[in-house]
Amino acid sequence: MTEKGRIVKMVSQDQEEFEVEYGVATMSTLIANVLQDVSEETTTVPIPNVNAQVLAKVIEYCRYHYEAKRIDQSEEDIERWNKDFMKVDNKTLFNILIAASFLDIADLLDLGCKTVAGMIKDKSVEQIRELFCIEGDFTEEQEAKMREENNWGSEMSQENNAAQ
Amino acid sequence: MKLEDLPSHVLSRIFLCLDAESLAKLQLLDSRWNELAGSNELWRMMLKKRFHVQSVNNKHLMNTGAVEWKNVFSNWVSIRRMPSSPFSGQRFPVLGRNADTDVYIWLTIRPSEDCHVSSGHLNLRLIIQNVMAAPLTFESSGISFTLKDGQPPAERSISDLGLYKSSCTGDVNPPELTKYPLLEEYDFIIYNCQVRAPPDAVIEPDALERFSEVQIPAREHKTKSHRLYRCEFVESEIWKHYECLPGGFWVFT
Repeated sequence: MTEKGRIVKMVSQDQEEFEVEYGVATMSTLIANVLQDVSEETTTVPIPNVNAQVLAKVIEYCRYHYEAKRIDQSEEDIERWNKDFMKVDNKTLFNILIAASFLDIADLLDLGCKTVAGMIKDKSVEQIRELFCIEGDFTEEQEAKMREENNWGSEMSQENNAAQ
Repeated sequence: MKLEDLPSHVLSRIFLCLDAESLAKLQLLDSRWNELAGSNELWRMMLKKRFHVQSVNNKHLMNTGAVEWKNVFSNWVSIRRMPSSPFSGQRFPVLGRNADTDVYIWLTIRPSEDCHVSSGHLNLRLIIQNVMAAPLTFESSGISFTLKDGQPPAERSISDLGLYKSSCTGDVNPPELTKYPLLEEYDFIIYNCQVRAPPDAVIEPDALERFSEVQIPAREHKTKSHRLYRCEFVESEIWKHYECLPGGFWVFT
């Protein structure tokens, strides 16, 4: 295989071209599969449902992680980089998630999902509504009833003291 | 672009990174979220993640007709069910427990065949699960038992029976043996503690009764701060599991 030095051209939805090293591009399982099925001269891969802004972010991720693996970057550094990388607005974050799922980049999908999960954790229902611009449509009674049913937190501490 | 517009497989992946309480909170957002985060399949996965059960298509549950996995989940939380593994689970008697809400500890025993303290040792087992604490490690070398007279047992040796990681995919991972096991949410670890029984104790319940508590030091991974968990032996629980048959034979029930 002449993978070294091989360049893959990724074309975004809005027709912007990105030149990416083979090793970086094939961090996407989708692209790796596509490139396996075509002749070696083919270097252009259209990514029809990812726009340039998001694709640039995704490539940035792949490039960093490709390099990090090559130079054996410490786990703490990678973690810190990931954290900074995920500091984007919600819309971008969701689009990255969709792109990662489409391009089949498991690690990025995982990172994105954990980031969203982290945003939800330790927040109240009202805070989550605000965060994701959700207007509740339950009546107060319905909500109170549901809260009652979900009330394990306090239940658990009571259970602890009662010997089963 | 809204969160709920993400493809459903991405949403389930996010949901499975969450703990049960957060998931229940999402159901309160609105009726659409109630449906998304309340799906029966999702709660079945949560059950696997939290209690490490291999298969929840258990006959007993299936016979009851349509199963609401979320109800099963809250029932299991309320009875404080032990996570399952070859060394832990429903069938293991609980001889002691702790009072914390972020980490659950179950104390159980591997009984000897005749329930006599023949070798002078008891094989006590600790099952420790992180249920809502920040990631932490337990220091097995620091596990210490105390007898009711305030003294430690004459000898104790601790062996690690494996760390069981909970997985977001619902798969059951094989146990890991690592030097500094890190317990993240819903992970649990099992220690076998061989302790010397008081010399005059002849049968297991008699020996067990002389113990008062076990202390387990832990360290929070991020802050490096130390914590100490204590698990008390529940006297009334101990004798419940042993029975004396006619002829003086003891059995473990």
